Amino acid sequence: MGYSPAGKRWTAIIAVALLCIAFLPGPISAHAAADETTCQFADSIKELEALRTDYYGDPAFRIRTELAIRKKILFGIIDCAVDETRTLKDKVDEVPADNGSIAPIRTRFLSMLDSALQYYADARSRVDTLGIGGSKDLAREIRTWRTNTYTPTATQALNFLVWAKNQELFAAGNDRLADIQAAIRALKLTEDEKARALLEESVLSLKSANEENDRVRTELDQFPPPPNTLDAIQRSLEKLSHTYELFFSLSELAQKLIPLGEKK
Amino acid sequence: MMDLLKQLKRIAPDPSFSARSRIELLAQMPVRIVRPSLWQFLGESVASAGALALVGILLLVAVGGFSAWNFLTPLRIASLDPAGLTAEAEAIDIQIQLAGVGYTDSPMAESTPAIAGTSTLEQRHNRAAHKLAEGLGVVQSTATTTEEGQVTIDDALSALAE
Repeated sequence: MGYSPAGKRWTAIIAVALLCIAFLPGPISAHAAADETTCQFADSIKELEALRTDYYGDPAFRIRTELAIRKKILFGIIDCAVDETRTLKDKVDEVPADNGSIAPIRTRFLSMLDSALQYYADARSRVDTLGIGGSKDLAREIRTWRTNTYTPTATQALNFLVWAKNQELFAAGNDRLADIQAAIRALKLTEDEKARALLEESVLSLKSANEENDRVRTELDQFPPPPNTLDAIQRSLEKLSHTYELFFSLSELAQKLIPLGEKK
Repeated sequence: MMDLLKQLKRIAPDPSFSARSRIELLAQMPVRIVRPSLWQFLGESVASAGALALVGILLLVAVGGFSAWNFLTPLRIASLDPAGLTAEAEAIDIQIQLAGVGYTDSPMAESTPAIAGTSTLEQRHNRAAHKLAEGLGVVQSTATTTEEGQVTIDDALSALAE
């Protein structure tokens, strides 16, 4: 079956047209799309800036392309933010709720993170209806909301995760001191002046660590949260760590005062 | 003579004497009555187990060493055992490192351009929160770090708002 000259001409026209379509700049280049899975926005932002500053072609094409890039970036940002919020919520959800002091704070953070997810869902539903001005307004609105509401909440939720884990350490420390006090009394080591002083210092050190730990709990209940809760968490842990240094000193002293034979 | 012999053949002991003698003889014989007793069995088992346990303890002491701290656990002196203290102190150190991870400012983080509308202190706390989020596995390090070439969600929103 042979081709007619007219058929060959149409085939050539279609091939050239396809080639032209392939090389024409589309409304959005694949490169411009924000990578939603890795939350990378740098290339898309650069593409947007290049379009706005370096493109002097068809204004209508420029506007269409800019709007498409903006929407893609907005979708990418919101999806990335939702992923981040969901992961944080899952982590908070994993905190055991059996501790009386932890449970109410945990519930409050879960509720706040649910509200954040709802906010992002509402914002996402608006993206498709936006023009360039609307996309700027929405970006500004989300940015402001994140600064004033989400970031402080998320930061405190992160602090809560560390603090909740700390409660096991504080419980162990308090139990340890009670056991050491009982052992020191049983062995009559309080008759030794140094042992007595070390024990008293341990009690005061742990008391101070407990107070700092309670202060953190109060801060976690506040909104807007104080900016330095993480510093307070660190201080409480450092005080607890100092208490253990005193426990080690007591242990060494006890070994000297009561020879207990060879140790492991 | 024959009559005499026949009379001797009929000689027999006095019945009461023979009965008494039999009783006395039987009483002097060692009588072994095998009566299996549950208590006896249990007692022997406990004794054997005790002996085995003693041998085990002696072997443990001889081969594996001996910790008087653990041995005195009933007196709660184990609370002063350095091994137990070390484990708890190490757990505290790990938490201190986690809480402090955000404040170990790297030169790269310091050179990060300021985000519009945020103070230096706020940026420091935000950076600390970002590092903490990475440490807790809440975010991927590429999503929120302010390292060179990375654009955070807030940076991208600021760029879109212009």
